[in-house]
Amino acid sequence: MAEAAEVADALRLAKVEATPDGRVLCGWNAAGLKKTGGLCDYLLRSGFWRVIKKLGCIKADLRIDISVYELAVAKVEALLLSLTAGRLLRPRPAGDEPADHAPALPPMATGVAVYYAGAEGTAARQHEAEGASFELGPATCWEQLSRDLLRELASARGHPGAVQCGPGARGAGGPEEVDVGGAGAGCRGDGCVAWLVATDSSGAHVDLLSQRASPLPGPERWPLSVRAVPVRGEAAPPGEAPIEVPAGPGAAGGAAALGRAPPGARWRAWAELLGLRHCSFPKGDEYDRLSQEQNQWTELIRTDVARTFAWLSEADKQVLRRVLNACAAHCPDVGYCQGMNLVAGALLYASASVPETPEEEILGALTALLQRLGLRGFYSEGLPLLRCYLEAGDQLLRELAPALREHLRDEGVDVRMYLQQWLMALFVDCVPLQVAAGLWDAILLEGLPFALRAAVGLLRSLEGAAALPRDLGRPEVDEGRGRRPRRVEDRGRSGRAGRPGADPGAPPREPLLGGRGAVRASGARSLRGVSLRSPPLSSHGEAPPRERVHIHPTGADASLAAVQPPRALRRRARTSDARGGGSPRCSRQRRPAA
Amino acid sequence: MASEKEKDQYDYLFKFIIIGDAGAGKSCLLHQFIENRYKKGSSHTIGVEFGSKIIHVGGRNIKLQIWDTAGQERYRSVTRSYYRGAAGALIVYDITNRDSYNHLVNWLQDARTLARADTSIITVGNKCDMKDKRAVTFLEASRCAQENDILFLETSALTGEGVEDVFIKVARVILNKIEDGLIDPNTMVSGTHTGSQRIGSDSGGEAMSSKTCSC
Repeated sequence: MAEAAEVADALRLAKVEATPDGRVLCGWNAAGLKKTGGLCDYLLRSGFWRVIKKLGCIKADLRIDISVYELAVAKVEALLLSLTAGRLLRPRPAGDEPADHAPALPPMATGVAVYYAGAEGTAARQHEAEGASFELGPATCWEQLSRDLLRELASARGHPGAVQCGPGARGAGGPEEVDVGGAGAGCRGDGCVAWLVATDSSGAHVDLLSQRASPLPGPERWPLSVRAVPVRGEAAPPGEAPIEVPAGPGAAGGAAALGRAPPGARWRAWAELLGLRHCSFPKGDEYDRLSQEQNQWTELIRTDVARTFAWLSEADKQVLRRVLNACAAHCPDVGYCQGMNLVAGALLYASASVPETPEEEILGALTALLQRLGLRGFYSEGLPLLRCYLEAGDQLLRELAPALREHLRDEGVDVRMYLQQWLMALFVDCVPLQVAAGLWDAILLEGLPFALRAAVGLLRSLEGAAALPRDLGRPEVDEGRGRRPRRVEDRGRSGRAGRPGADPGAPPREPLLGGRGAVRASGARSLRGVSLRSPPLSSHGEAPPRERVHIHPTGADASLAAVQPPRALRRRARTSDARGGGSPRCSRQRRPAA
Repeated sequence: MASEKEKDQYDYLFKFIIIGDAGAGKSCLLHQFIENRYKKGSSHTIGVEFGSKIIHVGGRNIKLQIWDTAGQERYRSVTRSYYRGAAGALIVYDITNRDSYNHLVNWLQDARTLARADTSIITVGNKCDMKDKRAVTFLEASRCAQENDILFLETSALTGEGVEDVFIKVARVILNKIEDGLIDPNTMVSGTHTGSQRIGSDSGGEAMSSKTCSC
């Protein structure tokens, strides 16, 4: 069982960092969501693993690294769009939006997340470099906003000018430099920044959205704290030694403790991302009426609430029941569908971090999830969108993890079984709630298709495991690292080559999300020098000598991403040819502080 | 590997489905059968869940592959695809909930049309430990079962009463049908399989189930 800190490390979701030269880099670090042993243990207890374990195809102590960013955004969305002809992804009907809300949001499902800002290469440029077909509109927006916010932060902390953004900016350094760490965020279509938390050099934490410049409790009082490698240090000329990475997330000892979201930040973030301010939902007396009034769903809601989250208090269950009842009445086309109770439960859980959140707000968030995010398509009669997603998921797996899919089918298991559970509950009750909350961050930020990406990513991470079990004499060899070789030719065609570092001759795989891929490309390379990677498995598809297996360095990459996205981003920004990203140009030696 | 195989040896593989109204106790029933204990704090099922267990009936090892489906009406569009090829079906109702009993006929019709015409069906009156809240009498349900030519038992997933009997009873009926030549165990659509075979949930190409019996 891994340390809580390790799990926490794996869960670090967002990050804002200042580089020594004063530039500020913000990273939405969901790519850093990776699994270490600890997390895997949790997963093994979740339904999905229970079933797979029963099938005997996974050893109990198998360690699995997971990166949810396995799939290119464009690919998933294109597939979903092709399956739905663009209709179902539209989260709300025209005219649903209050007239005074302008500009109209693009459908969230096709919205764009921007993962960093303030770096020398703008997000737009990064995307262009990758040839990905993203909407670029919001990028500028977020960049501008985050700069402004960071400036504001610096000034609020009495360090005006210490945060400098933009090309060529070099900070004053020294004691004045603001070391911005903590959690960042993105925007949705209209550029709303969700949340931004920073740590300044004095170690105080600032939530820029709501409690500007008021210090929040230190990380020790936050639910989970994570450690990160400090970003200070002398910048070496570019193009030099690879980055030195501490072995494993837990080993970044002595580093500055960065926290995850401080209490309440997540709920506020979700409220922003869902556009709660602009939503109309029943309040006051109307809410009271709807929440109490008997409707055709009341009985089922009562039954389900009683068996939702064993740890919910009786009072909380009453809240949940009222919210669901009101929601069923307020959105009669959806009513109540099992799974909504879990989603609403997760909202309740998140809202608990903000004292005295009105119940109406939870209802509002739930309504927004249904109407704006598009969840109604999962729940309404016939489950139309869900079926598209299941189909899409199956197709994706057929292409991306054929061995796993075949294996499960051999065992009589349809992958859609899992996808359905994960999607309908938006991962609540399928993975630990903390993980689910992290996935939600990304889903709310990016739109519903992220859920599919995450689900397929999770499943796909099993592919290596599928090659291991007893009666499967897979002909393919594991390339010495426990994974079936990718079908490089296929992936190449779809714009994604094999793993970076797997074949020096092949182009590095297309970075999935702008800088994220760059992180990985350099990560795999620089990791060669350190023993982060597990020992290679025996070849010829045999089971490894020991049952404990690290499946491929995806996780190692991800851990690297978690540790240092800004570095790679910067490198990427400097690299004119993104495809040359395999060679580490990272400069400065990165050492864990003593 | 060898030991694993031995452990896994069975003569037949039967696919079962568990259906019935939401909250009737389907998942708990399955859990009780597989783990021999009551599942506390269990949530509702989304879509389908899955469990398997090898039982010994009539001198044969039979592996039951059990698909536990979500009860809410709305899920039917997706759960129906899991009915196909089921050799046995458990229709579960809650003896304290009259509605769940009233819906038996719908479930029965689903099972007959979607699984297979000669699927062996049992209706299960669950929660028989809550006798003081009983809303459906044993006699009534038993008559109904007779009229519809299906089996009937009452169980308590909480105490475990009758749970194993349900599965064994259905398995025995299927086994009898096989031995009487009414079901060819080598046909995929029957939802049974001879040993070492696996049931693919929807791969039509597996009708060529082989005759390799592992014992």
